Amino acid sequence: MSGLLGLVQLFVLSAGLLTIITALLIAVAYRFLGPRLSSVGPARRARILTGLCVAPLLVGLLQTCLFFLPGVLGVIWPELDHCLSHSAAGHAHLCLVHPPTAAGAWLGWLVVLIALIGLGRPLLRDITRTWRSARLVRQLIRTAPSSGEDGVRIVESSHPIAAATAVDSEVIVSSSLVEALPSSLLHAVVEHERAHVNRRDPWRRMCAMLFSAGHMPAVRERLLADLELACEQASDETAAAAIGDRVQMAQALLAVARLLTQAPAPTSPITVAFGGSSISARVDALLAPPLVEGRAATEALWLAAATLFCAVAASPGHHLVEHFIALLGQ
Amino acid sequence: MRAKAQTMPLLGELELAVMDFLWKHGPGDVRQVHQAIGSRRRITSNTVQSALKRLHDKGLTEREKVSHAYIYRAACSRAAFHTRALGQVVGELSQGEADAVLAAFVDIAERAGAEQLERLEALVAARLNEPGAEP
Repeated sequence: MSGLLGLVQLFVLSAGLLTIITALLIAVAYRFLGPRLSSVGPARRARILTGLCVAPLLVGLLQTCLFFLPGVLGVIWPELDHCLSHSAAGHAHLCLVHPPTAAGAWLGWLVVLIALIGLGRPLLRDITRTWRSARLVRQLIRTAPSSGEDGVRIVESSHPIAAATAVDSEVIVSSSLVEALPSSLLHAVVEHERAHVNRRDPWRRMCAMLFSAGHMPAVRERLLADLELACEQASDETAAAAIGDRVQMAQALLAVARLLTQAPAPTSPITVAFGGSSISARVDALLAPPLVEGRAATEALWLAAATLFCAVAASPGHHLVEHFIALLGQ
Repeated sequence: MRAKAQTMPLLGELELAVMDFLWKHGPGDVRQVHQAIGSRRRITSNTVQSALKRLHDKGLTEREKVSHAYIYRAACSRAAFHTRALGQVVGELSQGEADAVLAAFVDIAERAGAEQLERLEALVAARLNEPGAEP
């Protein structure tokens, strides 16, 4: 039992350490990368930002699994037991064959506790909120009549809202928006929301929000805001291509923004945006020539290179983490 | 009509189906609701009765005893239900709480200032007035 506890402690410490290191590297890199990303096409930007959002937690978990790989191989094939190459005793091993005989020092458990509370609390809060919002949206979708168009439902409301949902991949449009907008602009709005559904943006944002818990709060907030803008701009571009008119898409955006200023305000505080708001960025982008989108294959190559690096770094990283954890036990 | 000012109650699949029945067909007793939606789902009338009671407890149905049976009716119209539910979703969006399940066309939490909108509208108008622009 103490061996199992020791392995759990080592896993959490290793994953936590790698998550923090990756989050710090991204925080530093994003200071330089962030401004450059604005010249990248929105669809590609959204893919890159999704990767950056989920990277710390994913790298922490997957790289730790790789660190345990020599130990797992040692169980299956004893000749591969790498612990024989150095003293089996002496320091904590990331190994199933030679698990720590006792769960490490109290300092190690204190770090585990802080990591679990620090990461677990916001993660649990986000999961609870997301679950509640998803159920509320499902209630709307299940009871809202269809607009006659496939996958579009009309909900009775004075709020001029149109939204793509992660629930059943449906688009909801409020009755006040249907009444207020001319059909050409309403068509642009619906095409934009359909683009979100086709691009699976609500799911992408849900994953990004939940898995970005490993980032520092300020960096996480910025990454999620940039991802949201990239997803909106990518859907603007897709919708503009579908209706064949970028200016009309900008008109639809401004019409809805204008309606929003006249709608009853929600009870929570609202930020009034000026110069650098997302509306401004979206309209400016639609009035400018479209940015060239890169090929998804390029990102796939980068991902493959990163995976290869992680695999190569598994052995030295394994020993590095063992030594770091040993420091906690001294 | 009984209206709750608190947060919108969360409903299960069966409760949503029952509300849909009451909005479509008007008041009904357990037997009628079970015939319409219970038989198809292969659930007993007791299950339907529990769902109706839960909806009553949540303030979404009203009931009246006629002879030995309760007759249930929706306590709010479909439109009022939507207004309330969407109002809450909008509230959650404005606080960034529903962002993970909804992608709104224009960010609810960010209202554009009048000057900014005027500037952008002028840009669009100028583009439309350019020679060669489609009317």
